[in-house]
Amino acid sequence: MTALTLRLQNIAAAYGAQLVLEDVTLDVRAGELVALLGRSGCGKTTLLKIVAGLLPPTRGEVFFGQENFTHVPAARRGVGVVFQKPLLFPYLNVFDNIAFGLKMRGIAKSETRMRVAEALHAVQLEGYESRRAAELSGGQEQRIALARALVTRPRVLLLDEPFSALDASLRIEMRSLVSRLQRELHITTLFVTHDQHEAATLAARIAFLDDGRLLQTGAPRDLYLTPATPAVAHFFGWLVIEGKLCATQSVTDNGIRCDTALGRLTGTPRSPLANHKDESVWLAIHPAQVRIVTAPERSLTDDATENLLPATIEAVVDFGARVTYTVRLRSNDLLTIDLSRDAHHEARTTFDMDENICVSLPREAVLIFHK
Amino acid sequence: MTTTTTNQRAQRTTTRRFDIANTGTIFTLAALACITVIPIVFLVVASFARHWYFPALAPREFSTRAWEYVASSSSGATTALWMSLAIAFIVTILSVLIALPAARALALCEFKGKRILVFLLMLPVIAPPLAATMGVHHLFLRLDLTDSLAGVVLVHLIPCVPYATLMLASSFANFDTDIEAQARTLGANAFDVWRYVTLPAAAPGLAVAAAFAFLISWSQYLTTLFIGGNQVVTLPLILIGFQRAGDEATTSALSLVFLLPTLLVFIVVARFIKRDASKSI
Repeated sequence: MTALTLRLQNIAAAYGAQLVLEDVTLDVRAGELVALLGRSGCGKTTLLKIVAGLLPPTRGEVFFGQENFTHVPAARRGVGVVFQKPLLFPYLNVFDNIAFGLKMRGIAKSETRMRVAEALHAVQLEGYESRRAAELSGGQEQRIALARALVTRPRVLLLDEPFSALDASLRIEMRSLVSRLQRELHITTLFVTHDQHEAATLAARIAFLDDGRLLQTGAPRDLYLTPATPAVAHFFGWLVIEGKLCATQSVTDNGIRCDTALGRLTGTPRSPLANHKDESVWLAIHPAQVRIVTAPERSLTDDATENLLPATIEAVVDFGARVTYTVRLRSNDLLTIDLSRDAHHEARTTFDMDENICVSLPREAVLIFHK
Repeated sequence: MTTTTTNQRAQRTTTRRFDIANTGTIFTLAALACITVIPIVFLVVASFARHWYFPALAPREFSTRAWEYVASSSSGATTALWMSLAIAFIVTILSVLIALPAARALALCEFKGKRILVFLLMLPVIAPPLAATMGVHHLFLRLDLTDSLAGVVLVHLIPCVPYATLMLASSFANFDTDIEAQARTLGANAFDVWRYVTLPAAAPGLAVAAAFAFLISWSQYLTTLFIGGNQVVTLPLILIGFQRAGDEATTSALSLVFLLPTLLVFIVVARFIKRDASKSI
């Protein structure tokens, strides 16, 4: 079967009076894997259930290719779903578990045997046919669940945090298995996760969902470096603070000055601003672009002290090849700065606990959003 | 050297204490067994007794008269046995059919008035059967359900359905409905989901619930008497008839007949649950 585009158009969902999804529009291109990223409770599982046909949307439409599947029942959608829990049928052995979907489709026994064997080979569990679910480890169970979903050759594959119950090393192994199978089978896939690292590892495109709204869709590096809203910035580890524009100013060198609890900061506007004095704005500071410098002499000019913030080293974790500093800013906000050994060409290469230093923020590391 | 002996002594003491605990358990179990087994032994002896009057410890003469009479058609015991079995089977099947969806909803769904519903379900279990049956009799008279098999089945359902429902509800309590959703995504329609997912998961609870429904129906006396009005004659009815007539041997033989299916049900259910437990491991 050739892969189909999954198209979600203006999807809304509500539990009673509570709105869970608000106008979500998302395309997953044929054979593409998109990671649906967001905190727990942001509505991502609801969205997945709507695609699977397990929940009806209150508004909006689901297309598989050109066909409208909004009102097609789950049993006839032909989607493969793997949930966080393996949900294997406990009274069936591995073979019958994997064959379940084929049995429901009335596929002949001989073909079933062949396809189950193929699926077990794909998840590297050949010879496990007669095992019972209770005899499998967590990782094996989840691989059987994956095989059970893939064996039916689904139009769309939906994965709902399938590895979050597994331990770290197994999770990495499972990620590469899913990544390989998804590419080999060229299957349109939506991968739900709350783990930005997992999303970036698996997907070329991330859709970030927050509070029922799709805030940004794009390549992982776009979400990391140019977050569309303060919420996205916050999720990806930026420090988000409030501020006010210093004056009605024309945008020069992408620099706009704001007064904040940290002092006067110059940053880059990320969204259109009304641009009048005292306009309230959000400022997002990217720790990855922050540099630590020794406290400067008092005699420096204004220009040189731009975005130079006094701070104290709160914690130091030395990983050898890189060092992680947690610094406390004057506003009591904490910034975690990860530096590789040769990253800072300052006079000194290491800083000590409780040492008073300054952090220097390049203008690109401070994004300004309208409020 | 000294430590070794101390250890050994300590070990011996624990062993002895363990033995005492063991003996206690065995003694308790034996006492319990006696309470159950002795009356049965007594029933067996009494059913074969010819003359067995008060001071004698054992009957002076034995006979198979009572058993022959029970087996003969003139006693009506065989007919009553079949009637009891038929009613119990019908009641069991109906109870389970009603209890299954009810128990699932009770265990897994939240809805308004759920607590009131549970209380109403418990009511037949709490209310004295005599009082309840009086009211039911009134109602059934108007509905022309008295003196009929249908009426007896219905009145037996009154205590059987709540028991079956509450038992199944407890076995549904740990049921993960996500597994039903998973089955649906794999192409199972509503019927397939029940057949391949929900029912197998409920099977052990179902067996227990069915056994209870069967046993409750099997041992109904008052309700059968009131609603059946001697037109529907079950085993307990003729058993009490013989007991009142003072035929001790026949009463004993019938009691044993009455006891047998309950033992069979118990053994079958115990086996079923055990097999299911070993299956899921």
